[in-house]
Amino acid sequence: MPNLDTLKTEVIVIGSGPGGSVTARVLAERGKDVLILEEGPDLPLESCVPFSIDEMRQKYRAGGLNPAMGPGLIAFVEACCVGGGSEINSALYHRTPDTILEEWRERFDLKETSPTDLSPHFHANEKTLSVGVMPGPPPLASLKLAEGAGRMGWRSIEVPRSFKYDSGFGPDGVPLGVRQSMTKTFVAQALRCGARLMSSCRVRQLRRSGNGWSVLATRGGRRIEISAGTVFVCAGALQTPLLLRRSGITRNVGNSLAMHPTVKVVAEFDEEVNHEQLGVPVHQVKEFSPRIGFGCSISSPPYLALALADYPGIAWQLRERWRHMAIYYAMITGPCTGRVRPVFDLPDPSIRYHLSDPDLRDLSTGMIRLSALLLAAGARRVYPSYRGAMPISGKDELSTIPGTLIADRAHVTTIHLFSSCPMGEDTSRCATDSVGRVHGVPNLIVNDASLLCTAPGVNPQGTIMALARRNALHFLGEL
Amino acid sequence: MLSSRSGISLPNELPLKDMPEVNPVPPRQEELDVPAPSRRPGLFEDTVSAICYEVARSQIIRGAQAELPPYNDVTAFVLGQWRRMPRFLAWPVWIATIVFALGALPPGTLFHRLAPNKRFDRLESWRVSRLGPRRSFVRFYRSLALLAVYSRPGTPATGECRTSTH
Repeated sequence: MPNLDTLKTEVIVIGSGPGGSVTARVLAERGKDVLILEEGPDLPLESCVPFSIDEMRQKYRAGGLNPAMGPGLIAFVEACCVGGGSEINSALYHRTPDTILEEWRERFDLKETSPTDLSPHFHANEKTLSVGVMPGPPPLASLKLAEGAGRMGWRSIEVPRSFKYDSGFGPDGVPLGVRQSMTKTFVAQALRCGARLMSSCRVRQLRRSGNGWSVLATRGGRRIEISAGTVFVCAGALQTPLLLRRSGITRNVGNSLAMHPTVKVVAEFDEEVNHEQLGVPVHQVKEFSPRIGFGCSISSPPYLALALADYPGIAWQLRERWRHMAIYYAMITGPCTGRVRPVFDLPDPSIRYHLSDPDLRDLSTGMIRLSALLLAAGARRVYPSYRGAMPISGKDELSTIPGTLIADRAHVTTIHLFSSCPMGEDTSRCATDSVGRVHGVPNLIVNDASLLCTAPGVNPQGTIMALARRNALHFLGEL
Repeated sequence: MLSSRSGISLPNELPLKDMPEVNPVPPRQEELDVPAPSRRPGLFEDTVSAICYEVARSQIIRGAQAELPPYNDVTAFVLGQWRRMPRFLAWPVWIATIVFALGALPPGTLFHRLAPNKRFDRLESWRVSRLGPRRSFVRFYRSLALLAVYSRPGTPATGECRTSTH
């Protein structure tokens, strides 16, 4: 067959995000011959300004223009580069809440996933990622969220980040530094341990080959066939089920996608809360978690313009008052109602996600409570982001937000996707066993966000990485 | 032989232990950009450009030099994003854009040939339309154009927004 190159290795890791890079490092440092296949380009973290349109062009899948279809569109972003989501996210870090792990164990018959079981894996990853709180004052926009929560009597926390604070201080005294993404940590370490990385390489299909696997891929217009004894699929909550389904593995695959649907509110304060180096706000309100949570978003002028797109006459305020504005979000723990399916041989799957009326009611409740919090924090005006919204200047105007958002009027977005191949021993609902091995399919292991049984209600990277480390060690027979 | 982007060639059946580094050099920006078609701009590109100019024009306020035309960079960004979209979504957007362009008033007048105030009226009528796809169409282009407009050097904060908080 023309243009077909063949290679052999011991273990293939498909995907280099938080799941794939932890897997690759664990295996490589124990002497396994590991090849990482990554669809996106190999770029340094510093190749673009974070949260910029250059980053969209360089590191987002499909430029960030991916919607999940349903009664209303849900826009989401997904990375497509070496390091995966860790290269573009806020590096906010949580361990999995104990209540979520308990729910997973009970509903999915999940083994070896107690807080005690996972603790050593969290600890080991946190050390590598330099996880910690800011060694100085958080951004003002973030403090406003904590201040408002305090006035409402609600619980808020400062979330740790995987971040090295070693670059001085911003204009408001906020410490600056470098995000500890996968290219800075686990990918680099895996390569130092002998792992190989093939970027810009798209895996199209997996085929059984004896006791192992043949991976069919394309790179630079050429076809490659790579043989391996074991394949770890770590391509993320959308690409992993897409690849498995394309390869004829469909049982409980791509039927239960979950996410954290999110709506935005812009707050305008009398005092300045925003500036050129605002960075990443770190406070979150957990009073209503896991069902509803609040946080503060990236609030640069391009994102403010986007969040205020429902207010067409606001150019003046945006130009003159952007330093007084910040974007906040209300996030819900969404249901596992998503479907991921291939569309012919196209690289992107079709995604359907249904938000029920109770979900839309929760989003509305979140938007109302978040607006009340921001007014309590001293906002002179808040701008909810949904079609037909009006600016709100006082608590008596909160009733203008509908009690249930209408799906096609609510501008719902998400950056967290998971649960498309849930793990557990319950074969009626799980795609893999408790340590990621695909049920009934030898030597094929899923090790990424797809495994999470349900939406965890917190930033998922910590959970993904702890599970990835545990599953890789289990594969090696060390657990 | 397998040619990598960096120009290194790999022979067939090469054991991985002997495989040279396949990515020693990060790709250049032009390698990351989705190539624009070599043909001359057609109705689709003209319409997208006119929409971008209209959205950008709506953001002009006195004294804001960075928000003044030309907006070719805004158009280039929006067209680039369209080319990056999943194909099964890009084609419906292309069709909707052509329908939008042809549906301008007076009959037979293409959107990009309308006077600015007429363009505004047309976009506004779709923005507040009772038909969801029309609203989604305007929101799609408006969102991308606003992102690009407010990312221009010299626009509030963005020119200097070189934060080290990666």
